[in-house]
Amino acid sequence: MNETALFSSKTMERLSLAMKYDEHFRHVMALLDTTVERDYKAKIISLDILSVQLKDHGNDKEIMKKKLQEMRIECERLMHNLKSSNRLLDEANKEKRHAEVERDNMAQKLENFYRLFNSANNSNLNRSGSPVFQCEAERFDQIPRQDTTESVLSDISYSRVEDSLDSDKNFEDAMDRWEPEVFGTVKRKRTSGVTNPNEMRKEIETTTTTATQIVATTTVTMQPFTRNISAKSIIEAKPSNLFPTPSAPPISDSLDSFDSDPYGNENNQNIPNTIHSSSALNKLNNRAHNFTQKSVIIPEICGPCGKKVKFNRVVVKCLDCKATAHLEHKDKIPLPCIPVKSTPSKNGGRIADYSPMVNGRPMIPALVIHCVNEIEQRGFDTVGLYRIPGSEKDVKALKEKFRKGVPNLSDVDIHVVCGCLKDFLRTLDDPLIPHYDWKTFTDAVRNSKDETEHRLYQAISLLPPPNRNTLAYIMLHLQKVAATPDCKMPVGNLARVFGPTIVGYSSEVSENLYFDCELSNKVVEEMLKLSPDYWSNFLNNLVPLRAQNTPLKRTSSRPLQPTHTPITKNNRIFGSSTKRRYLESPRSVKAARIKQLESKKK
Amino acid sequence: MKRLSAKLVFMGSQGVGKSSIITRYIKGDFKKECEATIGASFMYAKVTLRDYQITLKVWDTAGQERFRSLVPMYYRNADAVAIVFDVSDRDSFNQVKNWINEVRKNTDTPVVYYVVGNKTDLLDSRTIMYDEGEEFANSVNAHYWETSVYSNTGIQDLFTKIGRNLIEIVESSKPPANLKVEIDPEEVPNNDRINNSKIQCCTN
Repeated sequence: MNETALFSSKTMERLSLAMKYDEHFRHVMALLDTTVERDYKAKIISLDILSVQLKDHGNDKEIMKKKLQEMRIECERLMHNLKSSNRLLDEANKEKRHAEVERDNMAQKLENFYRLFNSANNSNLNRSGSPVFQCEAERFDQIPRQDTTESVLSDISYSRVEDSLDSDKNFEDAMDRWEPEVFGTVKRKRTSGVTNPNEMRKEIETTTTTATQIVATTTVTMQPFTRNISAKSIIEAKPSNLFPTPSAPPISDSLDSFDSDPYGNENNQNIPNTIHSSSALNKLNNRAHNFTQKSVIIPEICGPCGKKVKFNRVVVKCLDCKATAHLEHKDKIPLPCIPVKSTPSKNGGRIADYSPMVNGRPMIPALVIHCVNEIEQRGFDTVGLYRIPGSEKDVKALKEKFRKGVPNLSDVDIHVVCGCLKDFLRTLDDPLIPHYDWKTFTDAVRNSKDETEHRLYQAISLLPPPNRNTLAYIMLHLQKVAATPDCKMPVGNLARVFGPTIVGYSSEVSENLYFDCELSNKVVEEMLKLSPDYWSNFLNNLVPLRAQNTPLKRTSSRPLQPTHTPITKNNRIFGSSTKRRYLESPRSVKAARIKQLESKKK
Repeated sequence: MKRLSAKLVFMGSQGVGKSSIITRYIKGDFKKECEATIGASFMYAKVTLRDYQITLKVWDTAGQERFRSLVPMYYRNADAVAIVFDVSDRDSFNQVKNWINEVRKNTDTPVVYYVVGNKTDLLDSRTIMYDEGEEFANSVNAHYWETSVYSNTGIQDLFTKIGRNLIEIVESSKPPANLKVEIDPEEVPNNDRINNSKIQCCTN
């Protein structure tokens, strides 16, 4: 009994041993099976290939970068060429003007001579019209007049360059951000866990990143009891959304955003009598600033509050229009941002010298826009707007302030603002209607009433673009003034005020100044009677393409500069304006400075 | 009464009669010799149709080659473009396609195109027949119309047709943003009257 039991237990033991052996054997066999390893090996090889490709891409990127650099240099070179040819053109223009004056003189002489000749033998010659006049008629017909370098440049979207460089910068930033991962090639994430008791799972997630993200997920599942081992891998290419799109925002988009712009309409409601709600003006008025931050070395004056900013304090400065303000007064800088050009140091110059280029189209001088805005905001209840003169000293001081940046106009007497605008227009070397077009314009009004309008349209369309745009802007403004009964400045009065200012006089020293003056008044009067729809067409054309909602994007794309800004053009030991102030200092400027100091002492 | 204002631009080669068509419609007269337009001219044309009062801001551009660079400034934001050609001058007809392409390239708002064959009174020297013109217009997705300023045919109808198409566009499900109908007719004339009276008062 005992023996049998012993025997059976022994056999049992043996049996179980055999079973165990079997099991072990099976297990070992399973482990010896090399298919998984082979799969894994293949996977690794493919990963290697991927990494090589990545490296290639990295190299490509390097090459691209180098190319970009080259292109940039090339671009700079071309820009330089452009500028120098610009200068040449300007010179040629100047020469042309000289020649014109000379020609006019000669013509005068010839005509005198002709008259003399005619009177000498009256009987002999009875031809009508002098040859001089024929040449007169032809003078500008042959060559399309490119009076300003701006009009030449207008075909080239010159200012786009800035934007595109911006996006390049973004691109580079983004590339830099990616760099460690690109060269580290493969980021591995291993999650090994036993989620199921009879299942072992290995998951290898490989994430590599180039321009488009590649995510490879490999899942190896081992089930120890069934010898079932499966490997699943997914390789996905996800478009990376972290990259900024380097292209500019679509034009239509920006236009839409302008059209549905609620602020613009509000602006217009402030104006008591809007005869024309020109959306173009609203668009112009909503150009945003492009601020940068810096610390002060030479004391500067904050535009909105008028106080000096002391050493080592932080100011914001608009890169385009050079408006400066305390950090906390940033929002008070008047809104339409009109980029300033390096204005000529003296009074005068031509309108083109003041008109900055925006998207390849000449804009209106900043002084004009800011003055007009201020007048439209609070001048419409003033009797005799533009008629009553402001203090001449204040006008000069205000004009001087405009040279440095955008001053705060809100507590300046409205008549001074008007005076400043008038003074600016009057002191231009070439008035808004240039000397050589004087004859065309006055001829237009000399004709019969029926023809006047038609001829004026044609004369206006021949003006150089900066003149035309500024003229359109001022005319729209004056039409608003004329339509406001509180001002008591109907078209006739405004024409009298602006006649000599806008139209000026004929190029020759005129004997009958009075008659010329009457004609100028007539020209302005007729121009004020033209439809606002006509004038606003010109402004439609210079609406900046840069969308109104870009400021947010801009500030992020161009980070505020750190406080330790290197000394750049803006804060040299002597800013150009400072230098001018001290070195040239005409008497009026000195007077303005003294007055400024006095007012500060008070 | 609903008010609608739209921008209509006339373009075409030199001497096809753009200015003549416009002056014929607005002033009703015809000059045998018309000075070449410089740059562009501007006029209002009023069309009354059904319960609409349409004010067309008509821009008459210069056809001469040397003013070509100025033209884009005028056709921007246009609602309708009329390209005129001379039925007795094949060159001007061939140019039409270039004009249309140029406008298409440079505008991003929808524009209604009209191809207008002018000088149909010149029966003897006519080289472009109605069928050819219409076929071409259809191929570029434009409306075709023929006029003669000399015999005053088709001019009124041209403007009425433009007005009718504009109304169709405005009344369609998706009117473009730049075409707006003012439905409040009473206020506008009232305002005008007030302005006028006050201005007169000031001058006294």
